[in-house]
Amino acid sequence: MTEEALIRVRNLRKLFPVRRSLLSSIFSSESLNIHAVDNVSFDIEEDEVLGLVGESGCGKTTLGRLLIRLIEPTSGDIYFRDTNITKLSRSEMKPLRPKMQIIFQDPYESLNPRMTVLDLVGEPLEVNDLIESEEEKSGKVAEILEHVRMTPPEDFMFRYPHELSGGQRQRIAVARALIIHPDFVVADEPVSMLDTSTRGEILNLMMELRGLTRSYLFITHELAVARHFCDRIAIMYLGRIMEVAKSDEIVRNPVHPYTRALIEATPVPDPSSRKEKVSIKGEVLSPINPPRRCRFFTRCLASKEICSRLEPELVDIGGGHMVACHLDV
Amino acid sequence: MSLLEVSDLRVYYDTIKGVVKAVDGVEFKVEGSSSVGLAGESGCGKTTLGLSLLKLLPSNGILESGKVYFDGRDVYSLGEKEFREKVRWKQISMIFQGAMNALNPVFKVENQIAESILLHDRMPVKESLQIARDLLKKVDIDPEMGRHYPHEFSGGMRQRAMIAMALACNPKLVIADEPTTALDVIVQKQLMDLLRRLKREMNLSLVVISHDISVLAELCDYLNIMYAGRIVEWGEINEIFENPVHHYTHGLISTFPTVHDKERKSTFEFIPGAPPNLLDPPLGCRFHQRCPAATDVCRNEPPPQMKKVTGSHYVACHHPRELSI
Repeated sequence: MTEEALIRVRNLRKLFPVRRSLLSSIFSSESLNIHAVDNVSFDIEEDEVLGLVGESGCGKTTLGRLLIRLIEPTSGDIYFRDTNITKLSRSEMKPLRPKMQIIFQDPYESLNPRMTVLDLVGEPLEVNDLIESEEEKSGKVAEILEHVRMTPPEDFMFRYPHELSGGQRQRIAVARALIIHPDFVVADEPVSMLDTSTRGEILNLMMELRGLTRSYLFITHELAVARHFCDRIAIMYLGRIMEVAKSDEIVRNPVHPYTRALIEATPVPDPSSRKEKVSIKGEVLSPINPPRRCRFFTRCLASKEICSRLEPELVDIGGGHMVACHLDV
Repeated sequence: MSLLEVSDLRVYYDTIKGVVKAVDGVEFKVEGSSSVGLAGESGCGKTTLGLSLLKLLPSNGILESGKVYFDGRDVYSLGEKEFREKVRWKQISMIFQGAMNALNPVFKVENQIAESILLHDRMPVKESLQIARDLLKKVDIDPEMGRHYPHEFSGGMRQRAMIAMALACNPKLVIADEPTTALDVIVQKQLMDLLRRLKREMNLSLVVISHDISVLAELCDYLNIMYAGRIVEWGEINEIFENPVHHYTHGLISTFPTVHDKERKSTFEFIPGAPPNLLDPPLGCRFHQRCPAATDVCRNEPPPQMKKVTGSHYVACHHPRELSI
């Protein structure tokens, strides 16, 4: 972990209280919380794509939203360069906002159906007072539309989202995030709603437009996509990060039993390499007040006695490969 | 003769905007005890094809033409009553898309499974409940869980319960529409293993509908590739993956990244453009607007017919890719 990292996250937690009936709160004083993100620390370097991979409900979207302060953390710190952004007020946060952007999962829901492409893509410029005239706005919008291959831009500027295909909508979402040249972009499952034939186009665009942004947090449930798109991958399970390593390293040399199970379970588009069996048991536990032990304990085939009473810390096992597991690795 | 043979199937939808040609001239067959994949992008007509095999089309669906033979018998000529009694669920059943949400929340799971048995076979309720519990056991659910309600089941368990329901009347053929979509990879893997095991143990035939060809690669013996209402290539699955001769199939397969690749890819493959609007499908080959090898023949001639490539490998293309051996 270096001082020069773009984003540094330290002991970040986000608990969501569980609403209970009056009666049950009278008879039990214990408070119930969903531990969506539970004591997570990691860095995102300048010019890096960090993949955040995990199953649904593991807290990856919550973590992404915390990083750009769309939601407030329960405790912990997030540093953007040298600034601890968790302590900033709304007005202090405002100058930092244009430096961080987000691309949402569903382009059918994230674009206002009543706005034209020109207004959708130009909105970040207006909100952040980056333009002085309408001409300047349409000029900049046209430029970014060229970048995302919606050409000629005049053909698209006055269209509404319903006149665009899913892939085109997601290109608008990418243009909207990148038009103000942010330093950091959270991409929350940006291709999971798209047909596989068009996904590659969006991923290539995000890759090519690295000149307009510095770093991505790429949230996905698909290890196969992350393996190629990301420089490093963090594996998340029930609110905790289980393993972090370079993407080549993590697929060639996975250490955590959960990472191994994920790799085994990922289907391979090759009928000649079928494998039965996956080394995992049971199902994901509830994230409500999880007991103090390894989160993966109940599903692990290699668990030991210590796993049931002590939660492992994320430690570096060499070369920046970090694992949270008690097994002799 | 194959277990299921479909010829010249055309299914249209009557909508406000016009007639949508969802399935437009499909030939399709399933051999006994085999699993057949049906792959394609959203809106290509694969679910419509699955539903029409059970005659379960929505009210605006029109069966324009087509013959379906099951076990040598022309089942489309049967009346609705006879079809329901003799074919649907008894011979062909289905695991519906989004099946996790298809269970009725106010009935216990075992009662819902028993209901489908009682609709087809006369027997005491008690006996049907016993069969329901046996079915739950078969899909790796504790039979005692049958007394619980769907909300007490996890997503994977609900999907298993729907599989149990599809098996209720001992069908010969099960159509699974996106059986693992929306499930996490580990649950998906467990379900695929279950389907494979059931197929073996019960001597089932499967039609698996999915947009995810990596799932089909794990599950199927044969693969049909569907595009804009037509099947463009089919064959034995290894053959298709090794030697895709239709340009769409080739594109589709190469768009799937693999987790085991030794090196990181610097760019991702994709097929430019979007599928055509089925309200007004283009003249000629339906894929010509996105095809790298399209010529005037593809644009102006009627869509190509299925031609044999090798033993059990067929393609509908004017300029198929060269076989690489």
